[in-house]
Amino acid sequence: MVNTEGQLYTIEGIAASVLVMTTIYLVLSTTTILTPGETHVYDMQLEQLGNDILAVMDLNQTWVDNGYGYAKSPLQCYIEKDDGPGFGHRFLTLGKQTIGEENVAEINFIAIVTYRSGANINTYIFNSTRDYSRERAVKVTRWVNVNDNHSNSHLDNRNQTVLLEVLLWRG
Amino acid sequence: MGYLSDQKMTPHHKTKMKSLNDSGQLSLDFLVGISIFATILIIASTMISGLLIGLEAKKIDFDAVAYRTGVILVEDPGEPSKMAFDLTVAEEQQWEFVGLDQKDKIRRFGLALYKSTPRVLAEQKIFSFFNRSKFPDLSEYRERIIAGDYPYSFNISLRSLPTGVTYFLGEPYNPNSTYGYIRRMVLVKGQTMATVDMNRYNVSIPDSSDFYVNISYNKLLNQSWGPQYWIEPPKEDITINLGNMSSVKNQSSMSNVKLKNIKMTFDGILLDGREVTGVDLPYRDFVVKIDGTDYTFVWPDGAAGSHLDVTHSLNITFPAGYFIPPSAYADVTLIRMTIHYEFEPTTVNLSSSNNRYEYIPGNVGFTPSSLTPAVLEVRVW
Amino acid sequence: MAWLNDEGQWIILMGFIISVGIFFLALLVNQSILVGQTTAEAVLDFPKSDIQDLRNEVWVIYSRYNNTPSEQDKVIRDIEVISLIKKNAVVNITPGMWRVHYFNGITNYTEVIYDANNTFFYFYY
Repeated sequence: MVNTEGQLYTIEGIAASVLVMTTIYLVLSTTTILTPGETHVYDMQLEQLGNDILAVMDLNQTWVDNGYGYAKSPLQCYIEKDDGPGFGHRFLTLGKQTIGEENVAEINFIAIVTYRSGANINTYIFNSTRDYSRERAVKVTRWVNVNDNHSNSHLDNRNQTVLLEVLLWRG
Repeated sequence: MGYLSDQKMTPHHKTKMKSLNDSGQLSLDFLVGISIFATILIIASTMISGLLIGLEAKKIDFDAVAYRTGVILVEDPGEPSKMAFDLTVAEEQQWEFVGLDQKDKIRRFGLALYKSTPRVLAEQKIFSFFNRSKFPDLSEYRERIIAGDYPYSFNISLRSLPTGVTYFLGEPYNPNSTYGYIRRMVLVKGQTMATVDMNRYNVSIPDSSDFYVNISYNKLLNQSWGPQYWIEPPKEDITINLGNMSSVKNQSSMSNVKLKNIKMTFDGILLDGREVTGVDLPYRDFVVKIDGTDYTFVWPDGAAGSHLDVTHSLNITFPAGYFIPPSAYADVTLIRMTIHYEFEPTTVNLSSSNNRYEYIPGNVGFTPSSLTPAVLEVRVW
Repeated sequence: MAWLNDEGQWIILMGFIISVGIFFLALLVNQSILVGQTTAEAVLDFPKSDIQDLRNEVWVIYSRYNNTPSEQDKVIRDIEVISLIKKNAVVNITPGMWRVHYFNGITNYTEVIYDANNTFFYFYY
């Protein structure tokens, strides 16, 4: 009599525990998509920032006509002079600007210029902070119109539009 | 255990109650059972602590709202907002100039210049947006910028990168708590200014006592520049500084350069297609700084006690919105606005063939508007 | 003996109630995560920046090469070919009317960016 009474309380405790633990296991295994949801938001923020920086760099401060009939943007000048380091420095400087105490993770990037030469599409690495391995990166792009009077040895000598792609990641 | 006090309990239950309550100590197996349950409960609650607080999920929602608010502010010109090229704008058609008594006409804040220029913000819109005098209540801002039904708290800040000038709007935020966040890089289009060196207009044989500054609207909205570089006089500050005034003093005259009056005339096309030139405009009051002293000019006679001595400089800043035409002239298509400086005859050396300055980028002494980078941050919680 | 079973059942009952509570809590959290995820995905999937960039570049081409059609055609070909290969997007730019067509398999977008023959040309800014 005494033995069975004791066992019954224990068994019920164990049964309740198993019930709770099973529920939690099920619940936690379904909510693991929490992580991708988070990174999606970070991707969105980084992509927006990258696009903003390229757009800001693609407008000259004032309208000046240096014999072209239009104002050359800093971005156009970087590509025409093939000045990758200058581009990278400006890009990172703008990327670090904040107002609040926000902790800005360091941004790394690889910038690639894609251009057309006859029937071929060629690319070359314009500038990069370090090699890309397996980080979670976003890609932002900007069309840049280049004047035929440029000093970039990669490009044909003609007026053309090239694609600047920047692969961006944190860390 | 309310049922234990029930009077209709079975004898069995009474016996059991005795064993639990009267003995003063719990049975060992009950203790074992309940402690297994309690231990598991504690372990479980630590495992799902993230679930109970639900922080991450909220943050995602806040981030999405912050993103949308950022898009509205940076990529939208707001509402009401007149199209570009439409210079006969009225105050209630452009939200940054809507007055206090008509503030309900502002339906949405947006800082972009035009819909074709995302990320290029108008300085006047920034001033108007961060000036709380029109909307002291933050909830009125909320319904005009936050895309969401929940009464979110928000903090919007903008910092110009070259000057470091920072604007804030909204509630102070706690940097350690959870909030949605978006950071946008933008360009702010600044104001223009003309500094006229009067020495360039000094002539040996004077035959005029007038000087004109032309603001030609069709030239300022040059399509090949692109809308980011346009100057729209109704929507911007117009600053005209006449410097080096002593150089146009008539040497044969004993008197200093004397300013009689400043008039304003316009050229335009009337509604019936007739073109009119040099029409005298009954202007609103404006302030002229003569050698550093302010004088208010009132139509039609100018400053009280005119015939003002000018030794060095004559500076005028027409604030943004000044050139919004009065409603009586709303149907006129403006071509040119002329600021007409009338000096006392015989006190200046000016020639009628060479006494005009064109207010346009590229002209000598003209400071064009510059696009300066700035950071905009939106926090929502 | 039957009464003994009744006595211990409240422990299981409590375990059951807690389990159900956790389950519903998880259901709610899951739903809200889905909202955040779909918002972020919708933002990332819709090529807003691509289209804005393309619009901007069409303005640039229009203002720089409007008077030299041969240059214009070459530059437009640059954009059309590069976006097909690098962005998997079909882009067609019709000069004169300056109509842009963009299709990346999901988003199909057509707009007249600038029609110089339209008397209300400022409408496009």
